Amino acid sequence: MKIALCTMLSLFMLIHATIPAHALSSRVGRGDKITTFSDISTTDSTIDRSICQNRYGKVFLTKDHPATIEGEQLVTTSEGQKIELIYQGGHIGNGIYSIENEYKFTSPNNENGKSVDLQLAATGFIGGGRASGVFSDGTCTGNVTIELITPDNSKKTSPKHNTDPITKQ
Amino acid sequence: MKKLLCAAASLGAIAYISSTALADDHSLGSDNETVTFSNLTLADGTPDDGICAKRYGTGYKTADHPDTSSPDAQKTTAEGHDIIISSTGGTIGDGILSIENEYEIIFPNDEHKETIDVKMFATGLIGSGTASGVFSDGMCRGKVTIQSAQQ
Repeated sequence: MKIALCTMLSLFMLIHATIPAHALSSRVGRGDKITTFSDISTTDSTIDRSICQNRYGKVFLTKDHPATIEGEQLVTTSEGQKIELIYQGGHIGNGIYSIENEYKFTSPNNENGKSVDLQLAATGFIGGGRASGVFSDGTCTGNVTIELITPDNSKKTSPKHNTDPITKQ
Repeated sequence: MKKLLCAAASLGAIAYISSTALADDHSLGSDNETVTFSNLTLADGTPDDGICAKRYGTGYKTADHPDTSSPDAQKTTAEGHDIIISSTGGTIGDGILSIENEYEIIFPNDEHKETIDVKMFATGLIGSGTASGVFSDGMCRGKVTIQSAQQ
């Protein structure tokens, strides 16, 4: 049974590698998003909590930004974080989706511009405009919510907005 | 999340939520859990016409199948569900996990004893004992909370 499951998982990975399902936009929805971290704690009680507060204490927006366009791999936020998608996983189907992504996350506060690997696992309803789940960077963990604040309907109304990054390159 | 743990995934990852020690993972497949559903709608988001409330209005608490020769992947519930865990998946990160499981469920109030394929995606903090997320059977969708009975 284990072997079968592993085969299945690898198949899923393959499917995800071939279908151009793009990170958050195709799941949470296209448009500006607000990201909120909550219940922030440290993975180890010896770690100074203020590190995590500095990194994740502030809500940030990915607004008027290429992040609102499907396929974008690198975003900066209203608070100056740099977020680069380095791994993408999860599933979509039957009105629901899961996200299992990993990012190179650079916080604007201190730490000399050093980045951390930020793991994000979240779920949501297709069309619901909101994903919630958990995050970890190995030092800090907690809950996370990503919410679409300005649904981008221009796809339907204006064909010229269809600027697929693939055709732009 | 590059660490896609096949071994862990095949064990029904819920147990990891209450077990930070991965050492006892051999017994984890048989763990039981309390499952509750909320925010029920049809799978496309339109209001429930009653079928979803009938299926998912009450959650369930799994128990080992009375047939002792039955594999761990088969469960029964106090409410009368018949459940086969048809596939398990998910990922374990640094202190967090995701669950992507699929079940074949016969609901207790279904006179036709129809088997329904139910997908559940949930996430949680390791050690919290709870994962929450979403489920869908193609007809109905909603939120789901899975609580490990191991706590």
